[in-house]
Amino acid sequence: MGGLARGRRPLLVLALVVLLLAIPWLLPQRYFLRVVDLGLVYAVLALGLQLLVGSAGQLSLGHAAFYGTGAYTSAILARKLGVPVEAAFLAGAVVAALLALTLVPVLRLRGNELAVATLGFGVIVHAVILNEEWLTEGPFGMMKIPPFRLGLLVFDTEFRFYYLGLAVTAATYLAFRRLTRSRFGRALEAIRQSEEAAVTSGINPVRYKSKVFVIAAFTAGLAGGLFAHLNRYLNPNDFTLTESINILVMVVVGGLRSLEGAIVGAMIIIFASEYLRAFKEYRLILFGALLVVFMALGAEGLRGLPAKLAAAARRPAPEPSDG
Amino acid sequence: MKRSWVTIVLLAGLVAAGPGRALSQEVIKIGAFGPMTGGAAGSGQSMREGIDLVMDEVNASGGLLGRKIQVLYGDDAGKPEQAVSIVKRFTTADQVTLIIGGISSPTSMAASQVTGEEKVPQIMVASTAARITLQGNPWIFRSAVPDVKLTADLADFIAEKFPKIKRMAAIYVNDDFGRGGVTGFTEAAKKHGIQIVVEEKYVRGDVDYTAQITKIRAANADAILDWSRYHEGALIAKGLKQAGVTIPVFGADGNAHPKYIELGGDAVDGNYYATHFSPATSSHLPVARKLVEKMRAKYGKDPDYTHSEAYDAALVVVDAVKRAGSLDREKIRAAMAATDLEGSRGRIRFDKNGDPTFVTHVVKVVNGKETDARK
Repeated sequence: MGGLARGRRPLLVLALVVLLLAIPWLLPQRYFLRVVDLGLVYAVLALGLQLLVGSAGQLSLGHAAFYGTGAYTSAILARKLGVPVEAAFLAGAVVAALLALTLVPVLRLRGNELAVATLGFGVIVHAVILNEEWLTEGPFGMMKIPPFRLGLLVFDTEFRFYYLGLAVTAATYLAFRRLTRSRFGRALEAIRQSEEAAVTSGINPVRYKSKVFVIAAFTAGLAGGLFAHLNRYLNPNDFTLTESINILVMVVVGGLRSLEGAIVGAMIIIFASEYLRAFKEYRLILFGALLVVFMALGAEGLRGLPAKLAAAARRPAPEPSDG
Repeated sequence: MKRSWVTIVLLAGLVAAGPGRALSQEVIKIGAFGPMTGGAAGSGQSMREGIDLVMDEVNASGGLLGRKIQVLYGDDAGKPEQAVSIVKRFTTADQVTLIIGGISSPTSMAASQVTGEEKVPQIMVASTAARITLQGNPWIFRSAVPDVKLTADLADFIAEKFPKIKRMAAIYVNDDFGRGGVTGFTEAAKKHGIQIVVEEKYVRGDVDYTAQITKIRAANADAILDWSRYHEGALIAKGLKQAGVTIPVFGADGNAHPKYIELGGDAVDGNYYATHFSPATSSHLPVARKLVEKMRAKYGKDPDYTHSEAYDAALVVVDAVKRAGSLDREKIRAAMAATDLEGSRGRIRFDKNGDPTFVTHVVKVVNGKETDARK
């Protein structure tokens, strides 16, 4: 664990903040920034799912449903009804959260059963987006979605969008950090370890699970809005079960229960799938191999890597794992 | 734990800041995207082979404007979001001169928004959704015949060759392909006084069509319109033969696949279908004969329609760059719009939307072989 002197930590954090703010200036290449922007969208998605899967131990295979709901709500409101984009963006997150409320009856389910129920939910939402052509323009997708704007600021380039994505990611991260360290976070922790035990300590699991589902859906809705106004074209195929699994992979690669891990996991998966394109048809094989390697690091994912490396450096001879 | 993350992010930043891109002026870069993995990977492969046939030949004979052509291929896995990322990379990082692709309509549509904004010429290969070229984007062109034109061409063909057909019965697969086709045909056939008197639909993968065929028989129509893919199309032909229905059957481009004849056997004999490319309907075209010859020599197989559409797209691109005489994108766009060139499916010219103007080919199956129905 951390052997660093306390006094130097603020400095490192400051260096990180400066670096993050400077990225678009240091690396102004537009394609690179597009990939980073996409990574930020997925970082917000992965943070939401981390809260659900990592902190509360609730496996969801329907995260893309809330993502898609946020994206389409924001796009439809802004493009078809002329609602100001910032309002449409928030509305997307609110509608996604409201949709999560309809899941409350199934939240009594646990583990695999809950996972299958959320999978079914994802299939329904995808089918609605695909078939309700009058609303979503169906299988051809929706074009010409306006860029995000905040008053006079228009986030219409990869460069400008970066700061929007960074702000939403940072806000989500800081909010979740507070949340997981609060009484609420400890209650989730208790539910994750044992619902029965949580009940005996006076925690109502269904109520907490509902809340955490709504919060995760809200952030997925925010991510959807970001994506809609970044990509400016939406298609039902981008919100399928594959997408839900992709987000889950990010969370697991980064390390369960680690908020920082969710962000880094999202960036790694997005960068890997974009930059592995250079390997043409071997891309999927390499991507698969990469996942296997990450998982070989153990349940902690990437999060455990620095500690493992440090331990390996300290001990000259390999010893059996101490779990 | 926190400290380690900060270190990782800082390190990642340094790695990402690594080597820059070397600019090379000796080649003409062309970006091509399509599904190279996933369910439609076969089409992506055909697209690539079709483009390579043209570009390899151009490079072997000294290149274009004194430079070699380099085609960069991007895999969109059939997903629009990935198509957008690839086209952004092509236009901003790779600085391609123009773009060829894609295969599916949603990926082409997603990409066209980027090429329109970045002002880069794009020619789609196999995407047929009519609306892609109706967005007021002057940078988009299409090699394939759009779906609406295909249905209209089929209706024109029927009216011209079979003036007695006035009442048609439609059977179609209940999805966007089937519904879109029948709706488009009904609209186009109206002006010839052809009416759809009964519409029967089925779900993709159905094996028994007795109910639909019984209703079609009862409707006492002059001909049948079959908007299916080849597997169901062959089963429907068998069902019709069994039920003793002998009126002519006009099928969609979905039937234009070797398996239709293979599965249907003698039940599909005498049937017609619209096709994007067939060696039989293109045999009088020198470019098509050359394509078949080159495909057999290089890949040991006959071209499918994606080969032909990609081949023509590549011909259009080479011709336009040659006539533009420069790598200026606006000049190339203008040259593309003024294309007048022999392709493997006919004389290629573009209408004001960027769609090709030659008429759709129609096949008639005779003794288990494709023949040109227009002859």
